[in-house]
Amino acid sequence: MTAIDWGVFGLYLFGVMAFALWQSRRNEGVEGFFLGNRRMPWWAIGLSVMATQASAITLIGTTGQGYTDGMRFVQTYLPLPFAMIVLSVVFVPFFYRAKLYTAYEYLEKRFDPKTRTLTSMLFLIGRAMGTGVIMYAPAIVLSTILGWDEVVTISIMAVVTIAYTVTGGITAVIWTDVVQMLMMFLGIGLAIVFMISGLPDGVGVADAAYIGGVQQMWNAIDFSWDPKSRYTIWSGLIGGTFLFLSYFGADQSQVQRYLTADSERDSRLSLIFNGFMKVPMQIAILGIGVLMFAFYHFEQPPIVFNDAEVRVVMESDRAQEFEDLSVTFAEAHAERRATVMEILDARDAGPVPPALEQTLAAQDEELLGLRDDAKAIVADVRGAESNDTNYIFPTYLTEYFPIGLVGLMIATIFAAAMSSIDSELTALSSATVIDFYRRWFVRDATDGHYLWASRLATLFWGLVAWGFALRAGQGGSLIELVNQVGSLVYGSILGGFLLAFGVKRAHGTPAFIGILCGFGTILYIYYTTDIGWLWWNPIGVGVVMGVGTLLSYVMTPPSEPARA
Amino acid sequence: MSDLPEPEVRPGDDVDPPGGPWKSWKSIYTTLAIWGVVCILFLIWITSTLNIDVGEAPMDAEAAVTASAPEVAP
Repeated sequence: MTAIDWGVFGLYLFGVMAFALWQSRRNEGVEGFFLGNRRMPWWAIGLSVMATQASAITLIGTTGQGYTDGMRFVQTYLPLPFAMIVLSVVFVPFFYRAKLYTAYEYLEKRFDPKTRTLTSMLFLIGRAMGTGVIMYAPAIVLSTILGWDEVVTISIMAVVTIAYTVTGGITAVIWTDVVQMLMMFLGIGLAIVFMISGLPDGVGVADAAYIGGVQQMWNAIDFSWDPKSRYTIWSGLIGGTFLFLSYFGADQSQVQRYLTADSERDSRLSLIFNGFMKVPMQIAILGIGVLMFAFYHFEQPPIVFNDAEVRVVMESDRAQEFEDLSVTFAEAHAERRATVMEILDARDAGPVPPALEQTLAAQDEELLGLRDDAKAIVADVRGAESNDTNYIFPTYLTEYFPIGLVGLMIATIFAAAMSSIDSELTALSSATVIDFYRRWFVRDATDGHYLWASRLATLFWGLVAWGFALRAGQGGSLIELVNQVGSLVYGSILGGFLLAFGVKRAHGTPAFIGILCGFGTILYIYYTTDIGWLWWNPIGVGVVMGVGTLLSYVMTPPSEPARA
Repeated sequence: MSDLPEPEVRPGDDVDPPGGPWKSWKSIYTTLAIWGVVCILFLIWITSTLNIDVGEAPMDAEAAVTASAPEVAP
């Protein structure tokens, strides 16, 4: 990065801190810290909902996915508008009218304390480690691309985010999320504009789309029932519906957002806003990946995008083999570029001869094969599988973006990470203080006492996430494990809420047993089968609903309802 | 079972309408549902029109380049 880029990046960090502190002046007491005194406008909450879901991995991982796998990942997001309607109609009235601090409080009001405690604990387990990953995953990519030490990158992200979250609470979080989400929109827009303008003279968007089409990159909808296919319209619509109901309806990091609205109307509107915006945003992000795929038909891409992996190989005894492969890759790229130029000439004259299209498809496959061979060498040398998907977009940015905008785009990636981390910290803190500290340990302290307990809890979880992120690199499989822990708990928690909303006869102990059974079933599936994670949520919900409903009819309900 | 306020969970709950161009919650939900369907149809259109069925690829890419485009410089 140049000095100008550093200046832009520094300005972002300073600006976001100053803005958060300025916004936090309006906080009063624990309700101000966790719920912004319930006076946030719907559009700010809506942007915060989007920013919380869109982490840095969304920005760098999804573009990379678009480059390697086309548009198919978008199918996971298709049920989101419909899920927002269900949440707005069913969940928001229950949560908002009960005047809650956390979603799990509702389960004590409806069932009993142990069900609330269990679901809140499941949330804390899933989210605590996940927050460390949200911090670690982009940091390792940015460190490699920018040549920074991982510790520095993680620490900048952690210190700034923890500082403004501890000081400003949810008010600072939501308003910085607004700024950070607008930065993401700007970054996505700029990426598309510069990618198109970076195409050679005479090559337009239609030509780039055509090149992607030859390699079937516009595979946005897959109607097949093939269970081996990770993303189909069916797994997207069914699994995605449960995923979004779980995430937006049972995860405190999202529920807390729409509890800050000053009316039920605004709570609903924030979700509706998300329903309108999210799918187009994902289409745009994946589209950047496909555009990059087309762009790298004219400019030679690295054979492996992760420089750190390449350096390790070049110091090993397979360096010469890797070097030879790189030369072959460069030659194959030059041949493919020639074919592309010929096809574009043919397109100007009329229909492209099918033989030319077949040639391009074959050359794409050849280059993919060479890349796979290179990655196999990396995997062999490192003793761990090579995955450079997350490095594709940052590599493109640093090599082809103009001075100044590189700094802005790196700031945008930081913004994406920080806007998720801050929301997770306030959610973890609210569950800790409201569902555990105030519920079980100190029940009648002053508002000021709980406010300081909330700040300390936020600091504690911030330090836990920071510490986890710093140590995450010591175990490669840890990341995968932690990501899956989040998915393990969602279905069971959602099942508990659906039981509460939908089964009038349901009561405490059956709900508690049902949630435990749901969680146990998903653990069993995780350890013994290869069923895809998108299916874990509907299965978890099904088990909780089934067991909870059945036992509610078999077991006698308590004569006195449990009260919060 | 509980002392919770009873939410009147109805799609047509117009006690506090959304405002703007939408006169009722039902109209905004309908608009959002239509938007969801439009997104799906748009993606189906993208998939069916932008992807190119190139048929069977030739066995050897280099040979194919030569066969189909002899004028291309080596």
